[in-house]
Amino acid sequence: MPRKLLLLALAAAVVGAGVFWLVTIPATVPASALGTHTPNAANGKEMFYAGGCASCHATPGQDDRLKLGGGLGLKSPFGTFYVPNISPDPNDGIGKWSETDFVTAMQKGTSPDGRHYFPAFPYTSYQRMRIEDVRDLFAHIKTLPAVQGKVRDHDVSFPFNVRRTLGGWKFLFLDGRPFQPDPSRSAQWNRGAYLVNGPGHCAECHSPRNPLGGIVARQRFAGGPNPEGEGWVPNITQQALGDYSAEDIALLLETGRSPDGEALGGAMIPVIRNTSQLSEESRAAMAAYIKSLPPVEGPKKPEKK
Amino acid sequence: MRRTVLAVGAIVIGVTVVAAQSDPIKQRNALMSSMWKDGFASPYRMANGKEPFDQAKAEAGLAKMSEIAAQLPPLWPPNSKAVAPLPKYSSSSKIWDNRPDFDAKLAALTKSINDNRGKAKDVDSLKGVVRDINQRCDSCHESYQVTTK
Repeated sequence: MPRKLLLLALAAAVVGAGVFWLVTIPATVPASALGTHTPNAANGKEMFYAGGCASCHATPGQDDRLKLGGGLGLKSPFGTFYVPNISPDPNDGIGKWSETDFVTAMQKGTSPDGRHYFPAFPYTSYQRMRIEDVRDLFAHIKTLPAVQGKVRDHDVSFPFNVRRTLGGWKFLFLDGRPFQPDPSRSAQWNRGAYLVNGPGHCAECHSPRNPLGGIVARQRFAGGPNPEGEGWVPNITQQALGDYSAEDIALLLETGRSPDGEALGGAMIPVIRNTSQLSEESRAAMAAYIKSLPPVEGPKKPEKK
Repeated sequence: MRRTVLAVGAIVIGVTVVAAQSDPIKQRNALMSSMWKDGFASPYRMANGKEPFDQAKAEAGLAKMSEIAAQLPPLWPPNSKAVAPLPKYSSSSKIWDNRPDFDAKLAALTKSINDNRGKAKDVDSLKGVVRDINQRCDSCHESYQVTTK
């Protein structure tokens, strides 16, 4: 009797491992999905600022935000992630990558050598981007200076450092769906919704997370603890921004100041560095969308320190 | 009688010490608010075309900023980490881990304000002044100003 049980348990384990293996296969975008495309340089630049790439990927400790040598340490509850070099350097950056490699990274969170990326890289938002926009972005990055130097490995403890398990995380939190415009809304609103939910990835900071690190969908944009440890990221639904007009929000994205002129908290400064470089239309669209977010009650803030 | 006096004296001293501890926090929060309201707001709005340019008013704003900046350095003593209930913005605990950097950034702000006094003759030159000073605000806030609400 016990022997049969043992065999059954073994069989279950093998089947379980097999299912796990299948579910966690790193997804890729096939080259055939990319038709012919002439890169749009201006759009690529706009996507670069909408995506906020430099805020994480620019070499720290120097002022040139176009030097994407990586190296910044991002603290998280799972450990510290060291942002990679994405300059067009052929050896230490992405200079040898194909367009398909780049699209796969941005939208499936899979590296060219078939490994999962950690979702500190916000591909859960970037997956909403149109492939043409991603390709334009790639073309823009290729015009930036090559920076030498490989970045160290992440400092993430077991079991989170087992990349294959991220396949399970993606199974839960990466839906693979493209951006769906709302035909009942204006073109400007849809543009704003695309920029905020796609390249802007605003919800990645402005939403609370569950214990597995996925966004709590019903409280999207309702704020939460700062994922990097200290302080709070504000609610940006109408629950909190009721007094802000769309123009106020657009101006905020340009100047980093609230309608009263208050300097926003330090964590917004890298964001404004990017949004201040966008076109007025882009900011107005994002503001129109953010202004439309129905009021959502965010998580309770800790009153005591 | 003597014991009562000593006891009351000890309590008074204790309360004073506690009051003094929370004082730098209240003071620095109030001064930072004033830095904007009574100092930077006018020159900033003038530079962004929200207020008509008035050289005297702009200079008065910078003078006020200079006065406030001079009062700031002693307001982050060792035992003054932000305490509950927290206002909307508070001082990061990193200030006390990176003291030399924080002090340097505060000094850079003061220097920038003082260097820029008298430089704004028109809207264009004011834009440069405002940008310069704002960068100093941002550079410190980025590392050391925390949003708590």
